[in-house]
Amino acid sequence: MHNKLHRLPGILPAAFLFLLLTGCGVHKPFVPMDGPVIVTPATIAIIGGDTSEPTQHLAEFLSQELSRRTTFRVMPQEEISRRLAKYPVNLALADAFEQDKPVWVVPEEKTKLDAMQESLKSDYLFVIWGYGLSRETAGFGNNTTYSITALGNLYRYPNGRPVAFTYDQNDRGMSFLGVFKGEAYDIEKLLRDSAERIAEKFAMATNTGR
Amino acid sequence: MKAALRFVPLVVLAILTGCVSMFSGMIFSPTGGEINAHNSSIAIVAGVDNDMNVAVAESMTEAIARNSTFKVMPAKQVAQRIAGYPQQVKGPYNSADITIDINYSKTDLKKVKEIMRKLGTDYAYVIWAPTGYSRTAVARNTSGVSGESKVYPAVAQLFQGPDAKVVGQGRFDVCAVKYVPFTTASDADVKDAIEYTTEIVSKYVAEKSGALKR
Repeated sequence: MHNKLHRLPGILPAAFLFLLLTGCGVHKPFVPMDGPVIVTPATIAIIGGDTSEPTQHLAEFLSQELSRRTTFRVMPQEEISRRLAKYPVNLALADAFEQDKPVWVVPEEKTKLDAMQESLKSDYLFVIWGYGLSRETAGFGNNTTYSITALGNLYRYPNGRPVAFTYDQNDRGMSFLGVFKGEAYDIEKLLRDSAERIAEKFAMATNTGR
Repeated sequence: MKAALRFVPLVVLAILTGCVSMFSGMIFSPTGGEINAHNSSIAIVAGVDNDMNVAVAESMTEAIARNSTFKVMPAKQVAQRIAGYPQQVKGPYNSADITIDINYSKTDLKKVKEIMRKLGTDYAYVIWAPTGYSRTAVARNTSGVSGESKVYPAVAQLFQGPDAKVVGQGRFDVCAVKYVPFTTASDADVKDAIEYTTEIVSKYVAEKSGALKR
């Protein structure tokens, strides 16, 4: 065993150490909080947690993906705007990054959420944020990466309890097409990818896949 | 040469405290000939519901009141007259994730008209700072040669009521710049940058609108 270890190429331990140190981020697109999420055919409304474009786009793309992939009746974002007195809204984001089962809506904002559900009459609310969208350029512009973290909670009504969370970091390098079409192209792809990841795990966890 | 050197301290101050577009034509330009707004009433409106946009609009209200002959509606009164202020108004851009992809034809003029009707002023200067949700959009340079700055791009249009005719438009950035490596712009730096930027922009708007206080 000692002789076999000596025969390992010298690069392998260094490569392992590199991977360990650089890390791969948090990847939890959709995690039930207290056992399986039992769902009968139900309605759901995706609520963007703030008024920024990344969050609003993520809410729209997640609505589209859940419509496509699950048997949930997903309320369109336009209908949410019509039914609520004010949408989009800004919900204060809790600092729950260190929690095992993060609840991202601060307790003081829960009544706002409950009031929205009262107006929308949906069985579930999925509150989602596109948090910390960033562009990092290394090497004097040669290497550009876009990153975002999707944060969210699924609330079941009528009791209004959070039953699942999302905490999913995602990134994407600038593409060849992105150079010509502008950064909105790559950012949209990044957000759509995040929405797909969440919707895929959502469908599995709730057993509502089409 | 000596005359040019007088501006060096101002340029250095601009770099250290914030930044405004270096081209005055970009900050504010009339779109349909001369504007003669001397002694006219005006309201400054935040076009996006986020803290930064509201802060910029409030600071701009004070700056325009200070530097122009406009009769400026106080920020509190603007908020009272527009139900649910600030409202989300579709602004003059295609997208605004990190930077603003400006397109002046995209503004929701119907909504602006509605807002102007409620305000009852001769003019409305609507400012959009859509990436101004400070936890949302960051552009970082990891080459390591500078600190972490906070940049909030903004675009604005001047409307003449009651038809909300666009009579001027432009763009500017609120920049809290940090050149010292491993330092980050603080909330106080951002507040200073807002005040610095709105002071400069207000003078351009006043001058090009025929309302500069002499």
